[in-house]
Amino acid sequence: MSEGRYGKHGGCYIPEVLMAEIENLKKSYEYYKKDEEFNKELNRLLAEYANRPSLLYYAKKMTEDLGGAKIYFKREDLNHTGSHKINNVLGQALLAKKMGKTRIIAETGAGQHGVATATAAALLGLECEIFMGEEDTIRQALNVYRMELLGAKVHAVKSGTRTLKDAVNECMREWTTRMDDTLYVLGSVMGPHPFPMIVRDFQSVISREARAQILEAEGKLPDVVMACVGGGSNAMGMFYEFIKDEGVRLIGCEAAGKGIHTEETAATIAVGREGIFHGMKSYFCQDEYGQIAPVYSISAGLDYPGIGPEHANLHDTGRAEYVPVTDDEAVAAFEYIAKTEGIIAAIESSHAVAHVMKLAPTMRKDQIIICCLSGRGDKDVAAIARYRGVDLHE
Amino acid sequence: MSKLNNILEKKNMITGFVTAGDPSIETAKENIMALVRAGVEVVEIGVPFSDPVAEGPVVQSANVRALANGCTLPKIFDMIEELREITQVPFVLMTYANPMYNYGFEAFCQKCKAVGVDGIIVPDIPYEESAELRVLAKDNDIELITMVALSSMNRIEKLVKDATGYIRLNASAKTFHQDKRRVEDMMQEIRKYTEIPVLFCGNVETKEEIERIHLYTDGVVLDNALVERIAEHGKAAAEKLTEYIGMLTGSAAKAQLTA
Repeated sequence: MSEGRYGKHGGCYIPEVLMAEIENLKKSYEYYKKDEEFNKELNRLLAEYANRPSLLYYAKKMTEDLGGAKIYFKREDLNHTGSHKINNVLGQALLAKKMGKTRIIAETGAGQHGVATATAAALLGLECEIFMGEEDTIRQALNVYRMELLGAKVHAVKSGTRTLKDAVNECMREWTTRMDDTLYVLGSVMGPHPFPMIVRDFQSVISREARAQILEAEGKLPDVVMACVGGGSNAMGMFYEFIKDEGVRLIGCEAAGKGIHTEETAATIAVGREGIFHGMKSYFCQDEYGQIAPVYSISAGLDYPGIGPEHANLHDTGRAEYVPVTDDEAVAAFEYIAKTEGIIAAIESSHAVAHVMKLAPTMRKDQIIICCLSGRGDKDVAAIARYRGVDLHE
Repeated sequence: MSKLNNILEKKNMITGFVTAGDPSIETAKENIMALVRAGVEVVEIGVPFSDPVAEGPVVQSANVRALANGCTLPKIFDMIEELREITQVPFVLMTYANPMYNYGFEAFCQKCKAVGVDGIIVPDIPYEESAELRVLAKDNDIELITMVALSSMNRIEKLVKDATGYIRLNASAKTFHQDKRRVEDMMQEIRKYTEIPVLFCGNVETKEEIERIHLYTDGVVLDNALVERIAEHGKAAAEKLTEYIGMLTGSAAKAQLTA
């Protein structure tokens, strides 16, 4: 079996043309992750630029209103650029620089990873191009303009379903044509090895902090740790340091779209099957012939037909549970957390909030849930208004 | 022994790639036979995939057309079985990993053998992930074709030393014009480890290009040149393909006679 396996999942399934560069990336990462100077620089950027550590916030009103477990939010929405994506991007952009690259490229769904990448590129003086499904450029027009303000070139991808998976396809193709000066800054814990490992390592700062913070605040570990899952980067970051704590339930919330019994869903664990795609063996939404299925979610960031290989393995081993959350439930949670806690959370994160709302009332008051608020929801306000039939002009 | 054994000694080969089911299974069948009659040494048949990440826009569009018309792997196997009644030119099936994984690697290789496929190309299974498939292919007398890119220079020994069938050198005609030296160096490196044919693939179109590439390699795979003609002429493409390849080989008259 090849490298980079999580149980039977993972691996490195990419065209030969990319293999030499992937080996180069792997060697460089192995070197720099142990390099004191690199880590010092990254930690300085995380603290002084990205606003880490992020808060672990006790949601008193929600806790009281739901009447069960104590609810804490890990506030990745308060990071610079408004989501957890910056954690990974600063690491990878710094790595790109150390590797002597002058240009970074990235895919983006909701635009959060694109914005974070464009931000890091501006800060570190790298050229930046972002690939975004045409459909998503419409859903998230403000983020497109934001990336352009930051100096990035945004390509609207018109192939396939014109969403996140097609943006990944196009970004891989682009990388193939220009590897010498370019690093593909992948945004989630997916793709060929070593990306799932690199992204998880950079995102694990979330659980490293949260674990210490909850021990400080409560003197004990949480009962449940929860996060939304598309490719799964905020969830992997939120779960990672808790995996060894066997008493902690790990729950990933997938985007069920209009429901897992409809065609319009993106809940990979619920409806997908094992496959090989986008560089990895994992679970994918696909038809009976192995064609990748068009998926749907109100959330552009979760609108992806696969899931990272480490999640697939956590599912196989039963260490983590994955639950589907519909558009309706997520939108209701989006509105609820805004009114109850005064937090406009990303529609992606709202999928996890929705499950908190279901689970908390069934738990005892001395139990604790930590939910990752992976991003802020300013980008979603217009889409939610449209969902509610409000005619809003930005 | 697969029929690809017949090409081991050949030089100046012209081979072709078409996407199965583009725009329909019936048309693809006629197009494949047009290539055969025009004298190609090997036909590569692409299994359409929803997300062909290793393809440029031309072949991507062919994949879209084929899938829109309901092309599936079982239909492709049926087509090949039918074609085998009328031709013994080597067929190489090119598929992305997922449709094959979904069918089952072992079942896929057995089916290939049963219908008369001689080799398979899987663009998203690199050498490091190919151990299982290499064994299954060998057990079923089909060749797992080795793909090599110009960026593979430091990996060549590993990639080609046990390669069978032929080696597909993926580059582009444009790169070839700009930097023949890279192709020449690559060929020298490959020849240190194997004598099996090397076919150059990547948007080759004109007779002049082919003649020049033939000086360095054992042949070319026509890809976009064929797929573009199919896109342009639809159901009437077969004749155009025969004509085009006839022009390349200088055997237009012969091709017309036997067509």
